[in-house]
Amino acid sequence: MKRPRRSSTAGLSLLELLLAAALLAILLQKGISLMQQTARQTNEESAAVLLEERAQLVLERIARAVMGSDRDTLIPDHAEPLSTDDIEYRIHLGVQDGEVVWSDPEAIGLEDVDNSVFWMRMPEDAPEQRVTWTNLVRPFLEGELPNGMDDNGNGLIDEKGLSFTVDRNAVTIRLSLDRLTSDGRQITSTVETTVTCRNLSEEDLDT
Amino acid sequence: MEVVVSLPIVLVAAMILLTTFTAIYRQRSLTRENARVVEAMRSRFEAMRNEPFENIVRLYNADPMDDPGGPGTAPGERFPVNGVQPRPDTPDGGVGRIRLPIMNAAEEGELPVWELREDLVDAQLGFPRDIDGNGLVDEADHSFDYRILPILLEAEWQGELGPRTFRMFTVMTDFRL
Repeated sequence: MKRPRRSSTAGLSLLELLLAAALLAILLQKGISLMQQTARQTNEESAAVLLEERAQLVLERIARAVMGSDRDTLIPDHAEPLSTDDIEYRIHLGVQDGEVVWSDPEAIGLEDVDNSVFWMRMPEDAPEQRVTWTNLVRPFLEGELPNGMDDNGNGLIDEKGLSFTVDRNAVTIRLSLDRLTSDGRQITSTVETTVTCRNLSEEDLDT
Repeated sequence: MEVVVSLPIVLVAAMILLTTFTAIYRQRSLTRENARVVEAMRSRFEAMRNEPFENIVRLYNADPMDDPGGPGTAPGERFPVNGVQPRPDTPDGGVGRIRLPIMNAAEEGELPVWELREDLVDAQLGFPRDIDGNGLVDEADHSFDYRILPILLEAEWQGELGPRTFRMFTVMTDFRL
């Protein structure tokens, strides 16, 4: 008995079609999975970078304020291992009739209620002005727990999410921000800088 | 036929998208690394500003024996940079280094004698140059009478895109002189 010959114009057999479809499905699934993974990774990376940029921006604002302040007006004056979560200062505006002209007192600090960093100007004869720079501050600096010990090894004990330490004319500022990503994962960014007060008194200059 | 044609198109599109994602990721990593290094360098400059000008060389050179507070008490020439990986070939695992115009003036075979010299040849630091303000470049040690101090901060690290180097230069002086 002669087997029927397959015509040259015949299409794919059912088995070939099924195999091709299965391969295609596997390839597409892998491709989609890879795309999703990459997109998720990129989103997470973007969120981390944005958080770090925000932390750097706030740190830069604080650093500029401290640099422009007069060292003698900077309070409180805590050196390691003590730290503070707010500082108050005045800016030397110039000299008039032989007298130094000071700015109104200004303050930068951490508001515990909503974990925000605030800047405040406190004129004597006008309502105070207040600006919130960020509200993503961690209650305590990254790696630190409120247990009376130095958990993160930076020489400070139970430091808050925003902390200041003063060493002679230099102020070290540390800031930890955190936020949740769209898939509920927590990301944290910690930044630190040291700046020196540019305006010093005669006594400071002599030492 | 349609499937055969569309499949390569889909694959090429997916490849382009993935390449774009990867490029964005790498660019962000690069920016982040640079920002961290610049911040660490700025902090180091500020810490140096906070010291008496005449002590800066002894505090930030590589010699622990001349530290103003006693041997081994000064920060030295190395400084850390948080968040970046040191290069595997770095002997002490450090990232940042402070370069001052210092040279070893000892004879070969003798213990090193580190001197702050005007006749040092170092184009990156801008030497030779006068640093004690007498208008001359000489061969003396100016560790105790320098009036200006060129400083180069250098960071070498293993970045996402391979080995990276970043330098920042400044000249410090004591305005009270």
